[in-house]
Amino acid sequence: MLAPVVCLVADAAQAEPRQIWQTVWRWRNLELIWNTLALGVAVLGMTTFIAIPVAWLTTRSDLPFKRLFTVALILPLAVPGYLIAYTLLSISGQYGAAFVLTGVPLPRIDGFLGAMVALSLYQLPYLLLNLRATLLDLDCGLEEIAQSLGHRPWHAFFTVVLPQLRPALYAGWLLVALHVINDFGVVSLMGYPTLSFALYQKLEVLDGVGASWVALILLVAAGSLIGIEWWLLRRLRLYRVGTAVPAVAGVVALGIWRWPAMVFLLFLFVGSLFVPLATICYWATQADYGVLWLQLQTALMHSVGVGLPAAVAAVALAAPIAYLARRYSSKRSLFLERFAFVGYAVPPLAFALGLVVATLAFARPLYQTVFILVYAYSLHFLAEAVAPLRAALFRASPRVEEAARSLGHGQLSTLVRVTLPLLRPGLVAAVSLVLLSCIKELPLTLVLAPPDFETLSTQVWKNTEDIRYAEAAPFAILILVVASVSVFVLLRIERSP
Amino acid sequence: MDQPVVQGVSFDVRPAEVFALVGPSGCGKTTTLRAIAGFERNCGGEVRLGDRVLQDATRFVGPEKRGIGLVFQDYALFPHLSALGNVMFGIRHLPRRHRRQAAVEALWMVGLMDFEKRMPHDLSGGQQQRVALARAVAAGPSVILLDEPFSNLDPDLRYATCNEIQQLAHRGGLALVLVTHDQQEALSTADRLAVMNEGRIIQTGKPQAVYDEPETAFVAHFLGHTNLINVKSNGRFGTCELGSLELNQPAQGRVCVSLRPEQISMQPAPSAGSIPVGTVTARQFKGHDITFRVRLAHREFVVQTEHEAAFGVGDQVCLVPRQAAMVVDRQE
Repeated sequence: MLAPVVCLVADAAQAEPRQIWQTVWRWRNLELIWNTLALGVAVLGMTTFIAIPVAWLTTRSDLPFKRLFTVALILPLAVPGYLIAYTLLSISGQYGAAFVLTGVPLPRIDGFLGAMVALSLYQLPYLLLNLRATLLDLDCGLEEIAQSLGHRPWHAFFTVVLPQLRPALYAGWLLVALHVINDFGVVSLMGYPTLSFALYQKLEVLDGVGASWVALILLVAAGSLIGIEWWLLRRLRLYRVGTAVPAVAGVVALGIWRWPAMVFLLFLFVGSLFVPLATICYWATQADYGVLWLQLQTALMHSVGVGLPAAVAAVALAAPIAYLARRYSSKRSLFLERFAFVGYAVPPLAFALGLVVATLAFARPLYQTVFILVYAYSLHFLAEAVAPLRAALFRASPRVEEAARSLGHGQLSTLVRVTLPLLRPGLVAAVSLVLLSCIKELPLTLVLAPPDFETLSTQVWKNTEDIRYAEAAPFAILILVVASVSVFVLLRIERSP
Repeated sequence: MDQPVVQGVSFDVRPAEVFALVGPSGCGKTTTLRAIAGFERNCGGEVRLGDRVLQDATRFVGPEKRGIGLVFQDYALFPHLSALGNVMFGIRHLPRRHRRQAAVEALWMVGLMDFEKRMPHDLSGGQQQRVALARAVAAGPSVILLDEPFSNLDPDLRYATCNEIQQLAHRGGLALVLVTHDQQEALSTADRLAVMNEGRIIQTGKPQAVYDEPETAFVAHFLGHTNLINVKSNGRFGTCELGSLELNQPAQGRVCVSLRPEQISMQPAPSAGSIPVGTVTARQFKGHDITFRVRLAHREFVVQTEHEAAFGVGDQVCLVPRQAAMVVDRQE
């Protein structure tokens, strides 16, 4: 995993100092950084602004249909960003569904606004899940004490509850910010130039040195985000006090406020789930399936054909990591486990570029083959394989293995007859999760796939870019199916104790 | 971990015997058990089974080759196997076609005849423990170790489990070692017991002997309630707040003695005399007996009397030992 990054640095350093100076210190780069920052702040602001009231309403209030709203707002988690961008684009503007159907053009949602809306919808679940988890096991006795000391409920929320949500917010913000700077699908379709979009454009025009330097800037940005989060959480931990027996959270009666709250959630529901689905379905009816049918089959075969070996490889890599981390929670294995998450955090385009440089330098015959794609997928999604395996290992207590030993089974027999059967649900979950993620993946596929190797995700992206919304729709529907299956798998993992 | 958790622990267990290691939590009982089973590699000392050396300075026999059964505190049933599958898992000494029969018999023995197909999560805690016990027995060991066998059971089941354990040892000829922090269960189940504290064995012996004649204040205190009294001794007798006391062994100078609540009798205070008089401060009716707290000479004594004792709070009483007080060393 380190090799690509090292190659990237080496490649970037090859250039002459003057050239480096010229590539790095340019107005264009400052503009890109500024754009990325602005988008990040906007998305963070918008998601926070929506997530806090929604999290509170769905955990603490007596709002009807809480469960339904929660699921509906968490579902976009599995839908890739470029698909959301596709629905926004294909509904608005002069080629959009709204104009075709009603004759009244919606103002085209693209650029900064489009990127912000699409990314916010896409990132909202990450923040929402974190906040809900904290709110659900927050000691609400504190809130009641604040009220008994004469603070009004609103004031109590801001002075007592909000500060306790900080760890959840920081963790959520980190994920959202990472996704924003790493995102390629949304910004490219929306035509909003951020660092990753610029990196892709430089790759397209074969500006190797320029691409390497942008990739390095991206890496530094992602690294510092992780650093900042780590630092914030570390400081927070010092003054967090363990609660004794937390009081069970009471339900707040909304009274007359329930109506605006319902309208707010309904609006979100329609915007994040209903409109996109309706749009995709509309375009799917407009498509001409003559040629598309063959393309669909090929793309599906390609997606699964690369995704499956990658999933198996990722799980094979993840199994020892999860096992070591669970059984011997020493510093070293903890480090290994963290390492798996690095692959997740590294900007995919920078990772892809590093891989390209590395293959060209050391394994030229592999350049532009599916092997590289499989390799990239399995490292990128390693973390997704570790999590379900670790959950499965928690079920298998070391006592159970010791019981097998005391009954006369050696280490190998215990592994085969006890540990592996216990891990099987976790293994299945891990393989399917990584497979589904590989199918949805876009930037790595675009950069690393052999020429003319089209997958479901690249078909959605290319057709949308060329404003062929109807042709994109069937591929989008398949991606949606994949996304809903991954939600199903995730929920099953969550439910198993 | 510079200081060893367990140090200088040595005991032997005979066939057809129930041996209990009893002590407060964290005293090293479970570590000792795991060392016997072969799950603690990094330890000195010796483990023997009959003539076979299982572990010493040069040798280490792995847990799977020791032939020592183990019942964990959390039972550790294999969650992916049925009750029968769990029991069959350990039967390796029989040909394949006899294994099923042997496992069924083991389940019968613990009274679970209709539970063969049940999965562990469909069994109650007590049933899970029985399956774990059947699993250990079916593997045919000569020693079975039980880690806190009573801790997750309700009182009725405790009694049944205690019986089952004794039968296994006495009829089946197995040596059973059980670890518990519950002194009551240890006293009633074991043929012999060892009291452990801070990684050492303090006293070993038959339950009644250890209870009646504790060698240290810790043992006296741990196995049931007791009154620890400082005595100025002179040979077989000593003096304290209660007046003159007979001691179980001669001693000189200041010693600590133990008098259990049931070893003291309560009498109404005489109208005149030199015997020290105390005041009843609390009365706890417990059914078959009554526990009184009596304040006498600035300290409190606990006294247990028979059902009919007609004293009430505020009554003036004097306390008379029923038997010689046990001299224990001074250990607060």
